[in-house]
Amino acid sequence: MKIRRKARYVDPTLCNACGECAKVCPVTRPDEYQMGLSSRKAVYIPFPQAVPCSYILNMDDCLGNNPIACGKCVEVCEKQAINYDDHDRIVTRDVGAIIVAIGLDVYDPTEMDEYGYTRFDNVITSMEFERLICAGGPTAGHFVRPSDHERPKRIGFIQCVGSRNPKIGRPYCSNICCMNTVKDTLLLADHYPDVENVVFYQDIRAFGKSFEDMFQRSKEAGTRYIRGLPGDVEEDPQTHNLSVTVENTTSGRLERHDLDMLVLSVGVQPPKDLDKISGLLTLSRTSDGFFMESHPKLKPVDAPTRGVYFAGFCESPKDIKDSVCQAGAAASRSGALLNAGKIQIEAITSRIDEAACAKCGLCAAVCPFGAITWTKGSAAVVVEAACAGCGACGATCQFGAITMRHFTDDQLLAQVQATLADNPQDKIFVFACNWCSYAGGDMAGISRIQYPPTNRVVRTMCSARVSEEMMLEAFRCGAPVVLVSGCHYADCHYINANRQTVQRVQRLWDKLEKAGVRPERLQLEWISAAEGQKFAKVMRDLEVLRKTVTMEEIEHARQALKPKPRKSARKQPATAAAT
Amino acid sequence: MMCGHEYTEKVEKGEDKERSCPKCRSNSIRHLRAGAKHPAAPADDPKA
Repeated sequence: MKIRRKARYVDPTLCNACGECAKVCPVTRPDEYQMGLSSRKAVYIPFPQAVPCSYILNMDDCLGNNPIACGKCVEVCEKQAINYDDHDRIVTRDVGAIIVAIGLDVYDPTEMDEYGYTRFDNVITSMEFERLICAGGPTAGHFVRPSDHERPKRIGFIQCVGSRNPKIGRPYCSNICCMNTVKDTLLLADHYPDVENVVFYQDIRAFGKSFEDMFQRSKEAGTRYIRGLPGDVEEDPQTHNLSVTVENTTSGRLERHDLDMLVLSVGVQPPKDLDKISGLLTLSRTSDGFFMESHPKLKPVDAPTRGVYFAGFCESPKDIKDSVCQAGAAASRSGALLNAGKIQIEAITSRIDEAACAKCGLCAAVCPFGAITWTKGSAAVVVEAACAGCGACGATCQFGAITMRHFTDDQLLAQVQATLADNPQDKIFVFACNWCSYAGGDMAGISRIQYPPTNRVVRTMCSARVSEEMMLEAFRCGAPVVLVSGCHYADCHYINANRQTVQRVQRLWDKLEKAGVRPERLQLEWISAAEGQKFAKVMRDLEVLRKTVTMEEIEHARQALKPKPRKSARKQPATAAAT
Repeated sequence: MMCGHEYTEKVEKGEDKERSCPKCRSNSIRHLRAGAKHPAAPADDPKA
């Protein structure tokens, strides 16, 4: 693992943080830590609690060591800690586990112009509020409004700015904003008992331990909670006071609130470097943009790439307590991995026959775990420690080069043939994935749910293991209806392998249509382990469908779907063809 | 597919979203080619 250690230009072992350099530095820039509400110099301590407690020099801001331009900090530093010749260093480390904890970015409300964030000085974000109320902030904890530095008497909070809003592409709840606002109102009530707080919200999500109690305390402290998000904010140009129009959905009335200051409770978003880390560690992302865990219930801390764990916001929005819990779990998981000294791998992994491999690289493209390495012109190689055994590669390979241990093509085809050996016209053939659909069938059974006994289930580890050839073989053996069943999209045990199933079934639907076989005889359903009712319903529906399939149709499918000679990666020698 | 309901919601190519039929809740949603008639759908033309 290579780590870039960025140049500080100030030697932390020599710097004693006396601050003389910052005093003489002529450059002034907005302080990022204080959300631009105060300024810093080109040489500065990023924030008061920074470790190590030493200054850094921002070379993008610095005027340089040219004596005509500047160089004052070097002159005053008695310790001679400033080194303009410092440079980034690449550090190489051998690591056994990686914990990804890259945090979050805060939503920029500039695009939501109706709240006037860019137009009115007294509209601020919750992060700016945080700096203003903080004793270590730019006003030393004295809460003043930016326009005239007077203390506001009436403060409004607008919730869900950049959250739960599909119109701006952010449908998810940011999780922390409700309680952050409740905390802010309590802080204000504590610091300034005469302040009037109004919170405009669509739902208050106070679901954590003691959160409801805190919410009630905020209401008892005098904060008004109005259910409805404002549609418009106006400013009085003379006083810079604000006027907010909102439909109170509890009373059904349109209300107007005059405020001195407005705080936008902004949502959170995945950090901008997520793509870079995603590429480095072959991690996938959810539709919200956060990192996808290996399994939402069984492996909530593990990344799909083995040895990589998540902590905090980069996986999903969560509060401090949940972040600490996840970080603890990630540390424990990585500790267990490192202390074991060996790793346990799945017994069901894929194996590539180099001689049969066509070097096409399709298997590497479909592997959700990035467990297959392939370079153009060379045979693919399975990294067995990373392979989880879904079988997506085996089902994709058109050249028979990939064998799945314990779930070989021959074994599965033999099961198909044996199942449909007698009276196939009376049977519904089902491919069910191990983790969800097969368990859903079990659930239907143990729940004593009644459904027709005509289905015959063959288990695969993942629905992505079911190749086109297996589905066709079922039709060739006389199955009137074939069902391929797997986990719901978010629940796939193999990250997103079931998307391969969808593509494969869709291709086969087209093929069946061309061959004159009714495509609806091949069905695709997602049934979770808890959906015994759904399993039974699907079986009842399929039984109705099965009864519509005639013997002529079955015979036609047998003939129309006859196997073609298998593709071979190796060309036959000319001499062999001649003989 | 199973119920013959024609799914009309816009589907963007390559989008990663689980869909189900609003009528029968089946996930077996298949793209019909333009002009293709669903076998289970009632025939409009009595001659068809």
